[in-house]
Amino acid sequence: MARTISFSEATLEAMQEEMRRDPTVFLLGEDIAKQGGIFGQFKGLPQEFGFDRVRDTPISEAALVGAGVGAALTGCRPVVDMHFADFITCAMDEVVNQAAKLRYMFGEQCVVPMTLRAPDGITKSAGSQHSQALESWFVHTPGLEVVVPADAEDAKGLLKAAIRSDNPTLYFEHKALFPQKGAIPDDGDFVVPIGKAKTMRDGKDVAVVTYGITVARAMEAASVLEADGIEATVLNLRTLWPLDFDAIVDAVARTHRVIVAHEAVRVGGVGAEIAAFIGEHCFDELDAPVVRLGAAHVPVPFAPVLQEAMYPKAPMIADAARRLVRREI
Amino acid sequence: MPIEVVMPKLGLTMASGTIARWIKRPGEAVREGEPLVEVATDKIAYEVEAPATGTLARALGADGDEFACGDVIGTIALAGETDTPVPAPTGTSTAPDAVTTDGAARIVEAPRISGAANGVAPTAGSSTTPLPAERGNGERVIASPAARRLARERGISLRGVRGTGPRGRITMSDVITLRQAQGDIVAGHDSSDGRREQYAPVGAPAMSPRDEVTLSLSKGEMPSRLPRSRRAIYRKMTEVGFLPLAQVETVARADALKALIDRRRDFGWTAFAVYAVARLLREHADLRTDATTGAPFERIDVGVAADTPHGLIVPVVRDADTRSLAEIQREIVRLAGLAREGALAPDDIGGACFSISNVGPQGVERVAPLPDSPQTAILGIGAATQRPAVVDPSTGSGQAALTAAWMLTCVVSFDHRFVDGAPAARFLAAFAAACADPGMLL
Repeated sequence: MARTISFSEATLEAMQEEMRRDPTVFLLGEDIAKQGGIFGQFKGLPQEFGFDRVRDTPISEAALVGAGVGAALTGCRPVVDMHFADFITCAMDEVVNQAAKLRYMFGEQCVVPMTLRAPDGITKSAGSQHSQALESWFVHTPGLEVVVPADAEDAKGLLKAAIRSDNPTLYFEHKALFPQKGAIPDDGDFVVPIGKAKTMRDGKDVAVVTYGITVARAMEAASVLEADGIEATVLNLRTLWPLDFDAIVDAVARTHRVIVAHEAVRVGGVGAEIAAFIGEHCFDELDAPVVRLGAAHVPVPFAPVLQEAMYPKAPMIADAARRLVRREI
Repeated sequence: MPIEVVMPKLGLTMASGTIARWIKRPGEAVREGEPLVEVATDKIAYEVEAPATGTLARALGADGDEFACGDVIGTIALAGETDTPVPAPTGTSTAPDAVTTDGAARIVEAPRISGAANGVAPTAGSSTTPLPAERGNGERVIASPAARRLARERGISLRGVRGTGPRGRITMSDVITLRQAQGDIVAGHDSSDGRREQYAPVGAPAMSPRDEVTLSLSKGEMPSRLPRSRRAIYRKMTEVGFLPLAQVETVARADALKALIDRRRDFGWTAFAVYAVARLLREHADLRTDATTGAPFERIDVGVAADTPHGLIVPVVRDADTRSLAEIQREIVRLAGLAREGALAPDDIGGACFSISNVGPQGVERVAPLPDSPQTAILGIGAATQRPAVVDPSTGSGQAALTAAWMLTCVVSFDHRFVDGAPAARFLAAFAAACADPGMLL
């Protein structure tokens, strides 16, 4: 049995179910209680759980995340909404030096089961300061888990897993995905395990290793390629740390030609880590260099035409796949 | 003080080595760790790396000259030193006596005596003789890593092949096409992705023809134009030609083994033979007699005959009786790959207590190989093929009947001075039983 709901509703259900299941789960954020969140992803929750468990906060990310870390240390499971992922920069000390380190600094005497919801990505000319995909910074920081849902199923299953995780978890959700509808299992206890990738489709000619909104773009490319007789594997990583290395090795070994694609800036992106891993561990499986697709190394432009030209979409992925399969790369 | 370059000792039994070629010329700058000179033993070629950064001052010996291990074969002048290449064999070097200051680095003064006085070809000979062109990028095979692996597994040489990728890169599909053109030279599972390709080392075609051996029996001298890579084979075959060799032969039922190989796909016929033989050799100690001592070899290291561009080489699976089938398979693939590239380490060869030759990959049913002295016995297996077989009347309807069965011809050749026919036959029967019922060993 499956139902079709929006990505936004899927995240709402995840929080609702986890709050019913565990009284220590509560929500912190700007404009989440009275307004219901800018994407409606918190609507109705104060009515069921009260304003103590769905709290509006002042506009201070440092205070907001700091409060979350403190609450987590005392045994709560806070979900902290960053409004826009870009604003994590105002709380970097709380995330990088506190949340990520405390379990280690105190010799496992405490854990920090905090979830940071971080709406990110390029949409509707939001401009350079409201459009970024910053996940690679946090993959680089030991002590954090990083998950990136690609659709409604991931959105619900990964958010539930993040809330249940004893580690601080960054949950990067692409703003353009919120209204997207998708099927989710009816099982109320359905969870997407952290650290496991999902093969969205299986093809022998080329593999696209990707995550988040780029999964849909890769799937669109794969449909176009299928018409050309090219069979593409699409691997949805779901979690960026801990990475599902086994799934990556398997995708490389089945296809021998790999594209790593994401909306984040290509330089220093998560794709660089994956490409390097493939070079180190799958060298003998490669029939062509790994192709990395990512955003140009420029601030996200406000101008719609420029904005649309700067990150990988289905045609760019399909083009790279064709060139790989034709052995032009 | 210049640094000496010495003939390395590459294995316990190596006493001397031959200069194959100087990669650097005298006067040329070298960096520590760079390949300096290629030396050869009977079986392997080995690149000696420069022990220091500087200028190659002397390169003693021309191609083919033999030096004892530890002999000085060249010197490297460090930066600022004046030990320039000697242009002519004047024999009037004024350098002081060699002084060893450090056992590890053997830093010494330049040798006093010239090459000529040392009984070695004059240094000038090697510095003025045009050296073969260095391996430049033009000669480098450009192939994707996956294509290289596939070629290695299938025993295909990529030299001279032009690929269809960018810059002529050889890709996997080029190797697959190449193999089809060459007519499946290696048996294996035909999966187009090549991932689980079974490897079976190519057998030893040079082992059987008696005429090659008899040619030389009357003469003591090695034919002068014989390539270096064949000299060891020549010597050994001459030796073995005089031995009282005998054979036992049987045809093993291999239906169960064939099914197992097809199902598991993580090992091939050769790996199974190594596995089974190694375990049987624990008990059948006669078959692992060391001809130099007359007593059994203690370690069960099994040699596997491999066909390479340099001729027959027999790399060794160490302690094969303690390894799993999959481990043995991996080791055979690794060794065969190195053997083809001429990159075997000294410890990858020699010291086996028994060897195996498999001509199955060539589609031939029977081989009677010669023992690799000082080993005293060897097993030859051919291609498992479907052949007519008699159904045992006791298991069927009570009547003898003909059926098609997978059969494997196995020959054990042995040195009758050390091994008798009955123990060899018992060993062979046990091996055949293992082929018929591989489960009894697994």
